[in-house]
Amino acid sequence: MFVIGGIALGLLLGFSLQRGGYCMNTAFRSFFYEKDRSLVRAWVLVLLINVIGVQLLTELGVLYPLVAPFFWPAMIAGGFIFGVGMVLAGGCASGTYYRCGRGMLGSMGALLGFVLGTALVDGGALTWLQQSMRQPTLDVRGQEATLFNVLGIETAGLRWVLLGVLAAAAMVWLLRAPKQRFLIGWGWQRTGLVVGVLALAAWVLSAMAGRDFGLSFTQPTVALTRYVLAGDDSGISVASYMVIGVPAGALLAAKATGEAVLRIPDPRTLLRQSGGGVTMGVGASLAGGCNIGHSITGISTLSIGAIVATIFIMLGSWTMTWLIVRSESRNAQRAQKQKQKQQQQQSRAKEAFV
Amino acid sequence: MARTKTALFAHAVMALSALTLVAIFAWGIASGALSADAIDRGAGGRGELVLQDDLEGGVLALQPDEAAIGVFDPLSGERRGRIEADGDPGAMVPTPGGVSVFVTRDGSADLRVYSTTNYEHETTVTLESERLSEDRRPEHLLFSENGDTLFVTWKESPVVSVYAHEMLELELRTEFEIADSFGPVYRNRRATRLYRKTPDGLAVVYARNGDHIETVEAGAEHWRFNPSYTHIWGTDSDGGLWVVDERSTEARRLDAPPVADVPPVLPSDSDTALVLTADREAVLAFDARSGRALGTIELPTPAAHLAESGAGTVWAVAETGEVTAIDPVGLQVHERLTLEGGAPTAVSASIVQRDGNFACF
Amino acid sequence: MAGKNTVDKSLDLKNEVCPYTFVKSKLALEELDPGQVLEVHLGNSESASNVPRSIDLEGHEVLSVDRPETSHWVVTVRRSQQ
Repeated sequence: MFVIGGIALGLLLGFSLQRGGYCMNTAFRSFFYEKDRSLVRAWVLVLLINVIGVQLLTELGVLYPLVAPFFWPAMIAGGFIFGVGMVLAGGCASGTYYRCGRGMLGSMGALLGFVLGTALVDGGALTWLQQSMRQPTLDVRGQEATLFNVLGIETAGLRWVLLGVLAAAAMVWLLRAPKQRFLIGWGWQRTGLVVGVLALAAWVLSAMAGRDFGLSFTQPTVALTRYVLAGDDSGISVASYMVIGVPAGALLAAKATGEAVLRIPDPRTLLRQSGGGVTMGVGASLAGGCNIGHSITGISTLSIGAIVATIFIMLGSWTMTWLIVRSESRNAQRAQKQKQKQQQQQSRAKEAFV
Repeated sequence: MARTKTALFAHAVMALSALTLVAIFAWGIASGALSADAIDRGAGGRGELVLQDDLEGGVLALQPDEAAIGVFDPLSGERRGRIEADGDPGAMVPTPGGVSVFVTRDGSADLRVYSTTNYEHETTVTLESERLSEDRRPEHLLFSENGDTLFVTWKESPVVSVYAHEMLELELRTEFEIADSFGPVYRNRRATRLYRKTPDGLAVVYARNGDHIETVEAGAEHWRFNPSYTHIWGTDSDGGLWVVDERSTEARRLDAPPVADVPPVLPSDSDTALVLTADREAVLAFDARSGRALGTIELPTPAAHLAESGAGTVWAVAETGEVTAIDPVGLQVHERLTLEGGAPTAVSASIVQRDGNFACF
Repeated sequence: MAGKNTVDKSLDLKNEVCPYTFVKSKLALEELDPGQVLEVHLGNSESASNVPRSIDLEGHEVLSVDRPETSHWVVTVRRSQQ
């Protein structure tokens, strides 16, 4: 039952990620580098639905969300590394999964790298790094560092006042959005709404199967790898089946629009994306989650750790993008100088000739 | 031409790998090895008992008649071996990995450590203390989930000692007093909070320094967490049954038939709470989170206490050494067993964990 | 119509992914003189949607977004006057 439910939810998610072009790599980068905020708005809408939904279901006693301990050194370093890797890999964890489904070989390389990177740090040769960086943890008198615990808010009324203020601010920003132009596929409103509802559904389905967490990509990837390679099925959960469904759903969506084409990047790009995948895997395993586990599901529990990890994912992606912009513009300048030099030489040759 | 050939090849490779993966999962699901519903929410009768028959380790039973710890097969109840305990064994706690067991002895401040696989004495560790005198006697032991910390409480003392544990070696990390507290100490999932009985209820302290956070007004004698650490279940000496929400620390006394003053059992693969009735002739089952009653299991022999077997069943152990193995999912008697070597005073499953743990979301 | 005939520079980014698509398009535009036209070939819908939107918000004029094949988009842009 849960197997079918998980795969079905994964299919729907893959379908909507592809239709909405929902790439959190782009969303996080555009915050800083571009003036377009459409994908950021989709993300904020997903968060709005999930923060409110998860808190409501928690108050009703349906969910008992698990909150990652705030092991801040691993979250800061891992988040940053993940952010760097995600730019090189040309997509975040979920982005890589759905682009694989559509036939992008570069993303397949990134996914293999991601698998390798997570295995390396979570149970592999670099496990010591994960363990030592996770030693220092912060908590609020023995309870998880969530926004409510840190602020010492204990009554439901105050919790909803705070949530109401945050939600209202997000709503105002979303409603003041300019019209999205040059649209292919779904707009940010529909993408955010559908992905948000699916992420909330993942919480409920997981809870029914006894897993107190929502949508995630890192742990399920590690679990699937261990099952396929080592026969250890202890980590397989509903989330693993969702992850399997994502590329298949994306393939269906891409088939319908004719975008399902095997696309082979040049060797240099393939290498860069695969290396980015490894980096991303290492970062996610250190930080204890990726752009989904922390930046969507983690934040919906109002975990301070997830918020910190998200901030450092963004910082990592801005740093790497800045490096790329710098190197590309240097390349361009060099090319232009060479051109000028050639022209000068030519004109000089001409002069000499004259 | 070359391009279409490459594409054809790439398609074939992808189809083959996809097929292989699908086959692996189809096989896993068909053979029952793979399943997503690891924890049944205990709807009572829903789902099936999944017996684990390929386990290393076994059920440890402290048998004072023989001054030994019997190691029993969790399914057949057959005795696999005996650990000869030197001196009178008091309390025992298996390491979370299941390969060793720490045992206290009457009249000694040391812990003896035995292997649960070859039943040999492995080492003896001395429990250092800065607050307590030479005549301190350890009473209860508790490991953190990953085994890197051991919490020790002492006879007639409000002190809790916290030791770092690595490869069977213990190092005193901190020690504090929980005012007026007594009995065993309990912990939350990550052992960031500790709980111990006081005359006023259940004291909650911060595990780093023992700072008192609050006292839950619930008078239960024995407490147990559910496997997802959302609720603590307790039984008191007046037949009362208590549930405490871990987050809000709100306590409530359930409206249930009188229960026996023995620890409840909350099996690790179903979110169900099992308690023995006051007449010891039946086991009551509740949903561990909502507290909803799920059913009653009549026992053929009155039981002295309950314990998890580690193989999916729960043992109701009688004073004669007879065991009724209960199916905690189907809520019925699964099998009746007899333990060789006489009545155990304490029973604890010690299953060797070989599978990795997952440190991510 | 005029855009088609007077392309000053063409960029093939069909096998590139973000952020390279945007970075390279932006840099190529900056190399052109004001009023000149750049043609960018893109190979995925995300880029074909995000690149023109970002470039538009940078103040340049997006002349057209065409899709000659199912997974091939062509964006033509005129560099802004500043």
